[in-house]
Amino acid sequence: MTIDAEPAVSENSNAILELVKVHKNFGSLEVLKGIDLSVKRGSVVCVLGASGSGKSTLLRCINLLEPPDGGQILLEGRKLSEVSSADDINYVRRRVGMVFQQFNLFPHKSALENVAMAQRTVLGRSKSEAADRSEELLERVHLGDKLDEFPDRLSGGQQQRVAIARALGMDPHVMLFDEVTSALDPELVKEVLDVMRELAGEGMTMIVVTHELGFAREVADHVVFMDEGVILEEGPPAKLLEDPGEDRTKRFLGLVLEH
Amino acid sequence: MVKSRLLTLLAALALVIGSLGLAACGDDDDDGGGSGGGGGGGADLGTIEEGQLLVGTDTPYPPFEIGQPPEISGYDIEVMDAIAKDLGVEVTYQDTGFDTIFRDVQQNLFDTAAAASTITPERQQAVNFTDPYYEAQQALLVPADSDIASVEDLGGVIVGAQDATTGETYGNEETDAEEVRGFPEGPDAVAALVTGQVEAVIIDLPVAADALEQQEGLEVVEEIPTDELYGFAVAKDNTALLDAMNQALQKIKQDGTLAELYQKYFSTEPPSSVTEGTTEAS
Amino acid sequence: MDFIVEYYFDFGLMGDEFGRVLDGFWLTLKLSIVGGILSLIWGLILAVLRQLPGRPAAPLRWLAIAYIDIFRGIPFLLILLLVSGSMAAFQSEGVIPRELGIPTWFGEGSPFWYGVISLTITYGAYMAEVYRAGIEAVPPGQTEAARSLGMSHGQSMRHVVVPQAVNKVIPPLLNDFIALMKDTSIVSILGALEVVQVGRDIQSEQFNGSGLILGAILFLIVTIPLARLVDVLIARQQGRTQRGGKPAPARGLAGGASKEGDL
Repeated sequence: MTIDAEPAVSENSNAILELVKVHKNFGSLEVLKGIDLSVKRGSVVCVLGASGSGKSTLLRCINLLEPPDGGQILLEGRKLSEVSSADDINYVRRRVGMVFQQFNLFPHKSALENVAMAQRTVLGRSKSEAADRSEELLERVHLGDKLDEFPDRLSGGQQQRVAIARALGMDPHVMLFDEVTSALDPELVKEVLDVMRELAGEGMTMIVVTHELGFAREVADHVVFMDEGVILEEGPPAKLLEDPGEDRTKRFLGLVLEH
Repeated sequence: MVKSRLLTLLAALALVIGSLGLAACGDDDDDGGGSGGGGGGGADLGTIEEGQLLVGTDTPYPPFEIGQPPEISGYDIEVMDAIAKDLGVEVTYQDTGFDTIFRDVQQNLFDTAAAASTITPERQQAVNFTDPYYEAQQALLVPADSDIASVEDLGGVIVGAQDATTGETYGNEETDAEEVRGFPEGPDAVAALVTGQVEAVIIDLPVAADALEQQEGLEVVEEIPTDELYGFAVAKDNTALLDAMNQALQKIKQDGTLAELYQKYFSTEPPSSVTEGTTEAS
Repeated sequence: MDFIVEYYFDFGLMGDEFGRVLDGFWLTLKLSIVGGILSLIWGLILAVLRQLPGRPAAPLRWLAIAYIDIFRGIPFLLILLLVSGSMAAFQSEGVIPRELGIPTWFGEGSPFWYGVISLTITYGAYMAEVYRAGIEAVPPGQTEAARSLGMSHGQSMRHVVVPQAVNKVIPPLLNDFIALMKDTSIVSILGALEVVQVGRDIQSEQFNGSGLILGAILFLIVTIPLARLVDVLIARQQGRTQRGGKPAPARGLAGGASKEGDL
């Protein structure tokens, strides 16, 4: 395993999120075989890799949808226990937002309601406060005219932007994006990537699992290539995407570029 | 391949078990209750099956019907057995619901019914009855600590009775009861009385007396003289059977058999309304 | 043939006894509505208990599963007899007060309340399984999204999963309600004067079964439109799927449970 970035050290005050030797198994299958990763505040990290390399699992371990089986996760300096407790889960989920490949919008609620619901039930905001904030966020993702539409009347790109607004409603410190454009028709991909670009420009810490190499090249501060449960290579996008060190990386990028 | 063979095996097994079951049922039906007659039945009695008397009954209703066929017993059963013996036929009893028993006789599901049945003009519109073989009174049955002393006290009370009986009719027409709740079987009404779901029960006196023997904490506070007479129901078009049964009944009244049974079950002599009573066919 | 018409289709008699049969049907409706609403609520509670996550909740889960298995596995008549018998017996032994053991609340007699309680106990179990199928049919992504936003299990169930689940299973719940309505006739065994018992009483008094047919007609006036409503709702749900919007209803939910069929 080649490591280009600085080693993960808990005294690194710049690191908003650190993973130290994180392991995850599903039954007898080892999916994450010891991940070390340090994410600086305000940076955009893109995670690349073939399916099965463990990239989705990595994200899901960070927000404790899948509790890790070994290693450490530190979020803003706080060590999360190996066996996730309810406190840790709440701590994480109020600071880390996630956007899914399948959008997962609540079909029985309008766009505004989707964004407002957790603000009210989890953060305790009043109905009007949550509604105002949600309207702001939906305008920020350029959907100010779709507040009362239900998800089944929105295009995939629009739904995904609502999903981003929904995650932002919780005022997260870190946003996780799990292949959020992979399920979209090609002409709808751009509108979502644009929103993500804007978000990055505003200084949000983002970890983005994606196949969109153009986005990675332009927006990422740091790119990570995963293969079979380990980080094979990582580094600045200019280096890794143009002149990767590992053969596997070269082959993967070659394959992806051909599309 | 294995699956279809397994299915065939299962089907064959089901057939075997099914036919064994049917055969067993058939056997049960042939078991008469009381004493069956010897060979060759009497002259054409118009029964459903020659030489056989199929009797509908409603059990339990002690002391008139006790137990289940084929081990059924009770006053009605013993009287019917005696009649059948005299007629020279085998008798089979079948339990059924009291509220449909007269209809069933009318439609020839049974040859006759022995079910502690009071002869009433309404019922006589559907079936004929033999001459009387029992005189009945109703009883008012209450818990021992009850304030109810007579049928006058039934205003606002929830009374229990068996569905479609004269006790139920009496409760509805002759008392101020708040509700007369009908139960499928007589003993169900008594059970409801014991647990307190009803506050009184109107039911045939001997049944009430039997309940007193079986159950603590009850008492009969009034014997309601209704002078009801019991008869055996016979379909209207079967005058041959009606006449034959009446003749047999007459014989057992005269030779003391009926009186013996009366003593056995009711510890008293049969009244003249029974020994000399006849039923007008309507 | 003439006999059948005369015995079962005597419209004159139906007219004469109409008020009485209608009174009986009114009791049938009361039993159905009260029992039905309570079953819907109790069934949802059971289903939620059955889905509680985590080790500490395991005893509750097991209790819910055992309850559902038991009361789906015994005939309704048996449950009715056991409920009425035991409640009355407990109060006569002084274990519970009379007001509880022989309930006559709101002017309805004890057979009514024994009926309602038994219907709720039984149909709650059937409906719990229907709710469960609905809950399990909600895509797991929904729960993941809700939990990722920080909602607790209870919050995600209440705001996200259960509303979607209930919406999916309205047709089979309606089917269960129709089955419940038909089973109210069994309460006649406790002496309740519901519509079937009235028909039987008329039959034993007048040797004519037309009261039964009239009762059947009254039933159909309610159950047939309900069945058509179920069809409309199912078609509407499937229509949504084909437009490409909402998720499809889970298979096998369109058939409801009856006390005999579903084991």
